[in-house]
Formats: sequence, C-alpha cells, structure tokens
Amino acid sequence: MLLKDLCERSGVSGDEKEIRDFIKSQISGCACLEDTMGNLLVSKGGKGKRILLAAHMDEVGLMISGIEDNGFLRFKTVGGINSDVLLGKKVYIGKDKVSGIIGVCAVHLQSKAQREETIKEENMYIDIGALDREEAEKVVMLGDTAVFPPHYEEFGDGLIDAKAIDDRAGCAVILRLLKNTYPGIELVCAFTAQEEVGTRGAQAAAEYFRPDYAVVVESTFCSDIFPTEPHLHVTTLGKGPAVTFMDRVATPDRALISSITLAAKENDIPWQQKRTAGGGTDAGVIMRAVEGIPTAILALPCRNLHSPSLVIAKDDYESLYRLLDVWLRTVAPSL
Amino acid sequence: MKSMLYKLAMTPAPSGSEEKICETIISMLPESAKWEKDAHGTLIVHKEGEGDGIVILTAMDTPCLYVTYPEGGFSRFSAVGGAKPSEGMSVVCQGGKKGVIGKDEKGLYIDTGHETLEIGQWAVPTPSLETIGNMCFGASMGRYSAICAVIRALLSDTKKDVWFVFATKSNIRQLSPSFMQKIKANVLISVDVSGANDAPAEKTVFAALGGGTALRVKDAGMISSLPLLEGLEAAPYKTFREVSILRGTGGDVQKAYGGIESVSIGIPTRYLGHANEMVALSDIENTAELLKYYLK
Repeated sequence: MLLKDLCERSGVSGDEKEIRDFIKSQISGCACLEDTMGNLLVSKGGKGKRILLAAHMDEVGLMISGIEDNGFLRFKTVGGINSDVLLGKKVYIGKDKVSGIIGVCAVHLQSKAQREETIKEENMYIDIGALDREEAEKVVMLGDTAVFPPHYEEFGDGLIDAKAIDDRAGCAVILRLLKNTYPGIELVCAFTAQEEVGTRGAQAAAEYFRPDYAVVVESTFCSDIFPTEPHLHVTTLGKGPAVTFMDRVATPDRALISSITLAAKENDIPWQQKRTAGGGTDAGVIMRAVEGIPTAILALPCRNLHSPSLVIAKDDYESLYRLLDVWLRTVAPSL
Repeated sequence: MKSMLYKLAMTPAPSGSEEKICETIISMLPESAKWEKDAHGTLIVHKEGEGDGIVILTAMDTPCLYVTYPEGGFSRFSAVGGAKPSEGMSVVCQGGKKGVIGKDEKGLYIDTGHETLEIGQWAVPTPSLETIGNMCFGASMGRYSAICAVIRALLSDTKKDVWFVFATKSNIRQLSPSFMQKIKANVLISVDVSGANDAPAEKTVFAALGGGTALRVKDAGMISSLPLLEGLEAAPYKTFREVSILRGTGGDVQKAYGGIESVSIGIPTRYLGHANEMVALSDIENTAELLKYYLK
C-alpha cells in the first residue's frame, strides 16, 4: 500500500535520500530532477496554466551529536519535537538502522523536582548497547540521523496510525494524482526537502518551476482530544481536509481558496477550515518566490503531529485526494 | 494633513486583507500617477526622474484579529501582527459588523450580539481619530501616520527617480520583497512606527512624542547604512537616533539585489497594538518634510 510504504521509509530533514529514491521509483512517464537542495521535482507536462503541487518528504527525527566514553549517544532533535514524546522510545540510527533506546537517569534516582519537570533532551541519551565509545563508533557516526520505528496500522473507526504521516500522506496524494491525466493545465510537482527545519527546500522548487499557481498539500495539527477545549481543536478528524486562511508564515490566496472550496461543495466532498492563524508550511516561501505565486494550503488533520505515532482518518485522506483530483480536472484549467 | 490622516484612519487595513486601504491610498494619488499592484497586493507608485532610483517604503497593514471559532454571536480569534486586544475594546469586523471584545475563563472573544462571524474573517479596533492639540489618537494611528507621511512626500515635487511602495502583510512578517524585481533602485528608506517611551514613570526618555523622527540605527530586521542615516540627521528637521527592538518593514527588502543601501525611520507612537495609539501631528509633518527634503 502506497501510504504505508511511504511512512515506513526514513527521511529526516537533510537526509532524504531513502524516501526520495522510493518516491522516484513510484513515478513513471514524467521528467524527474533531484536538485541541489534535495528536492525531487517532477514535470507531468501538459498545456495551460502551470500548477505546482508541493508536499514535503522529510520528517522530524534526531541527529547524533556526541558519543560518550561509555558508548551512550547524545542527540539533538531535527525539527520540532517535544522532548515529552521521546523518553523510552526506540529509534533506528543511520543507513544501517542501528537500534537504540532513548533513556534517562532512573526515576528512583531523580529528585522530586526533577520528576515533576519535563525531561530535557540534553538529559537523555540513546543506548545502542555498545560497551564503550570505540564500540559505538564502529556502527554510528556523528551526524547520523535517527528515526522512529516504521509502523502502519489501521485501527478504530477508520483511523490510521503511522510514523511520518506528516507529510508522507501529502506525498501519497500527489503520487496518486500523478497517475492521472489533467487536460488544460501543465502539472508540476515538488516533493520538497528540509521543510521541518525552516521550509528550506520549497523556495528553490518554486524558483525552478515558476508556477502560475501552487497548492501545498500538507498535514496539520488536530487537537480534538480530551482535555483540549473545542475552540482550540484547530481541526477535527473525519471532517475532511482543512483549508488554511492564514498561518504564521503565509496568507493563502483568497480566490484560489474559494475555487477549491467551491469544487468541494459542488462535489459533496467534506472540508473544514483550519481554526487558527498559527503553524507554518512550505506555502510561506512558495508564495513569496519569483514575483509572488498565488498559493493555497490543503492539509490533512493529524493527531500527535511530530511524534512517533501520528493519527489520521482514512476518509480525510481519500477526501483530500478526491478534492484535488476534481479541482485539477474541472477548475484549474479555467484559472 | 488632518483630513488625509482621517481618511486613512477610517479605512480598516488588517494584515492580509489590505484591499480597502490600498483603494484609499490610490484615491489620494494624482490622476497622472503611474502605479501597479504586485501578486501580493503591494502598491508600487513610480515617479520617474533623474539619477539612481530611491525606494520609499512603508507597510499599509495593521495588527488585527482573525476569527477561528464562532459560537453564535461569540467568536474566538487569533490576534496577529502584534495586536493587543483587551476586554471592552470595540471592533469592526469584515462585512461591517460591530462587536466588543469580551473575556471568560477560556480567554478573549468577539461579542457581535446576535450576528455571527465566519472562520477567517478579520476584525480591527474600531477606526477613529481624535485630536488633542498636537496629539492625535486612534486605532493603529502609528501605521496610518507613516502612510500619511509617505503620501505627503509622494505628492511633493521631485526630480529624482522615486518608487513609493506600500507593502502588505508586514505586521505578520509575511512581507514579500519580490516587488523589488520590478524596481531599479539603490537606496531604500523604510518608514515605520517607533515605540515611544515617554510615559510618566520612564526614567530615561529617548523617544518622546513631539521629538521628531526616529532614525533607527538598528531595528530587529535591519541595520541602517550610517552614511545615509547621517545624511538625514544633517537635514534641518527634528530627528533622534534610536536602537529599536521592533521589526521594521525594510529588513527583507534591504537584501534585494545582494544588498541595497537602506535606512529605517520611524514616527514615535504610544500604545502600539492597543485599541488606541497616540502620535504627535508635528512628528508626522516632520517626517513628511524630512522625506521631501531628501527627495529634493
């Protein structure tokens, strides 16, 4: 299954080769280019307005920043990971996927104050079972990236739990769309690199393609959980893909948004509005590239964003695909 | 000048929805003015002249609220661009609906009575302009004053080649410098607001209303070109140096073409982001005259 295969691949920001190679292997009949930033740029071709679909292929993770004399590894987070989600988790390090466990000083040895506060990443270590530094250096190098264990599971009432859904789900949707034909437009796609460390890849992608319009296909936070108050849920699982009116780095093009939401309404595809002006995506740099590119953001509501286990609704994923498909087919040619 | 400032101040200019303020500014331009808008809604007015090009830049957007969670006549919101909403503040919302900021245990909300708002609609403090002698106050008065000073400079005679730019989305840090691709210039003057610190309890006042125009040696986004700053300092107008913690409009633009000689100036403003900001009319006039002097 495409989404499962994508989520199971590794691709911490700046180290996207594995996921990039996999995505490339899923594309046929299109011109592909790997640029210097690590983006995978795909031209489907066609005549008409040039429409860019962009999804980031990198994921949050860890980077090995030190090896202690006793063989334990120090690390830094890559992308926004709350240290609360790290403790006791298994990780795979480097291209050889060396197993490690994130640990911390035993609770029995912590003071009351230490037990009551969040454990910071500098007080954690990764245990790979090495006896000493020399042993550890045989399998791990400084700068190696580490990912959470790949998993994909369908559970509950149509929910999916997997690693790196952010934004492999967006990549999956675009890969599915690339198999279709859309007359009247020139479709170009960017699987961008380094989004999680400051949307670094997307600008180069936008400058390369210089599209007339862009749609960023993303995953966004969903906090529809106890004990969050309803007005702070931001999105709701199962209510359809979310449309962003503004976030911290982008104010999407209103006319473009309207064209998408109208297509959703006319085709009975559920959608919702993202209910915050917070967060940020590749749209921030894409819309400011060249002389300004009208850009929209369509995002999949996702619980536990930037953690080892992200949760989405299967229906939302399908609705996101259907909405983009119908929009590219019926609306985009007349933009 | 007061009538120009009034017309500007009565026009909502929320970050991300600057269409109305842009229309108001265009209505103040001479019929012969050459202007265009870029993909971000930024307004560029070109006065063709001699010599190397000069950019006079200001933002035209103001801090605002965006509705995130309407519940009947009550709407939760995100405050953006440095807006400081407070209980009891009156607001005008997109579509002309009026409301008051209320507060409960979960935080602030907009109370629009029986009327409902939609997710993504904006609200701004109710536009107003009151004058007390040399002082005036109203919602986002600092920003409207900067726009007013720039328009006054635009309407003056100059033989220089000048690009007047009214940028969008500056307060929310989304200003796009891509308009510089349409412009040939090697000097940038960014006209901003400066935070006044002349409240009664201040021990050291360095930015007082009525003190003239702030010449910002440094702000959070730009370090000014010292020769350019010293040139303005030598002009026969009231100025004072400032090291500002505010993020000005020109930071990203300064980096255009690999770097453009730039200076950031500001109009001292009290109560930035609150329901009412206060400025001195003489500082607006002073800033306009300083710009005119430079353009001569």
